Amino acid sequence: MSTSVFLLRELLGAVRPRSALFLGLTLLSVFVLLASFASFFLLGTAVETADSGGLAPDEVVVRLSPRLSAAAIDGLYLRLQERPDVARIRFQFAQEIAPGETGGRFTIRTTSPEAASAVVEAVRVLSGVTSAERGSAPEPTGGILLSTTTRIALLCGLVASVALSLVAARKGFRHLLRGFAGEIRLLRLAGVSERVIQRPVIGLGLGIGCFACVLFVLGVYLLHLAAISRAGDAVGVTDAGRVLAVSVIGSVLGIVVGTLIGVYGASIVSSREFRPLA
Amino acid sequence: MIQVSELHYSTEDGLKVLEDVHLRVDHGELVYLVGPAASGKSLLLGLLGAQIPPQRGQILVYGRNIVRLSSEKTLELRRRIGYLPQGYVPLPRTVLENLVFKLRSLGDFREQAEEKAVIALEAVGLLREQSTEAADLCAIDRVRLGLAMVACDDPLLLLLDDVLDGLTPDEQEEICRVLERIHAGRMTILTAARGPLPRTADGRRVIALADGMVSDP
Repeated sequence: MSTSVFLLRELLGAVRPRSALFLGLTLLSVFVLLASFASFFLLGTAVETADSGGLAPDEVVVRLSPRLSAAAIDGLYLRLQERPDVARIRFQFAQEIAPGETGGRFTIRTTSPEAASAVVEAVRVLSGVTSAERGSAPEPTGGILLSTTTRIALLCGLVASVALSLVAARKGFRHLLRGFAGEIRLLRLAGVSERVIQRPVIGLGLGIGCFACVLFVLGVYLLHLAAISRAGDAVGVTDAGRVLAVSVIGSVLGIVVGTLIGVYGASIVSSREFRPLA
Repeated sequence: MIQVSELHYSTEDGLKVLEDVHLRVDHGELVYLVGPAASGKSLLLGLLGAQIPPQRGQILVYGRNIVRLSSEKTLELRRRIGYLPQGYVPLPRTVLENLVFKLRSLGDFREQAEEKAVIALEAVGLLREQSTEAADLCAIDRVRLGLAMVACDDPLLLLLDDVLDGLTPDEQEEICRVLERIHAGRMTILTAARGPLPRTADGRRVIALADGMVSDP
């Protein structure tokens, strides 16, 4: 067994209820941090977008022949406007649509998506109309929409969990290392290097991060299972690929945060109270 | 073995603790460094043991000048010196586990560490107390444990700070006998004491330290 592993075991042996409480709180904070991070990508409802033409389902686009006279366009406009299922109508000249476009177009907003089909059928048979099409039903793009309040709450959760993990880690490591102070002083007297002394503390931080990752991945997986069995609105949780990606990235984040917490704890070892001849 | 020349040391507020100290201790010597409280004995031992960074002067320990050692070489040197600080407090473990912890931290396997620990405890006369909690030991046995702790990994040099302090005259005699046993003519030992020394120490070289100056009769 290497010296570092031996010292890590000895350090764990020095854990007392008070230090265990704060280190447990650190673990919980890291878990909350990971959960807040994951929520940005897994919770919320799907973002809905219109079809490729950019039309809403209650909209109809009517393309006109370039040969139509202004009077004929006016006539068509008035006829369409009189329809009870047309809420609004707008005309655009060819030059307004795109360069090289011939003929103008009407963009009609119907009173409901159901009315759009009837309008298309009616308009297609009119003289001077080259095509008429309506917007299709919305399709989820894979994006997830979170309300502003939720975003702010998650962001606050992230910041609070980082702050709490640092405070709890400092208290936890301080209590733990005070119970291990005699050993640290002895190691220094015996000529053990700082790196060897600090490594178990960093290892403990890493262990906390890894344990938080395990809980996090387990939580995400269970949430995924629950979501697919209930077919809820949170599309992110039902998407296996997204769940896997978030789990992997979250785990890496947890390991990094755990290591940083360990480094933060190891910095306490350098303080004066752990020096043999202070 | 140990050669100190022109050693000076001042506190942060300019108080001179050691002033132009010259000292030589040969390999295999058992030397007593005697001086009143706050005379600089602990500081001198801390400097010799590479525990306190020196300020000015030259300290040669086994041919290495401590003043110029890199931090890595300093650690290497510390591992070859057994330094027992004043008021040594054992770890809250059994006597045997105190030694095993130190030896395992220095890279020994459990069996090897236990073997060395038993030899050291036998040398200081504490083998029967190996399973006793160190906190339950009496004053003299704590000193014995401290001696076993510093001697267990067979160092070249032992630096013992005020180990006789707080002991009865009989106990001081006993500790000096233990030192003679550990020394056995092969290990170099420098022991700081406030004096007067017990009779067992008669015939041993005594270096006096007062007001930061050394007198070596």
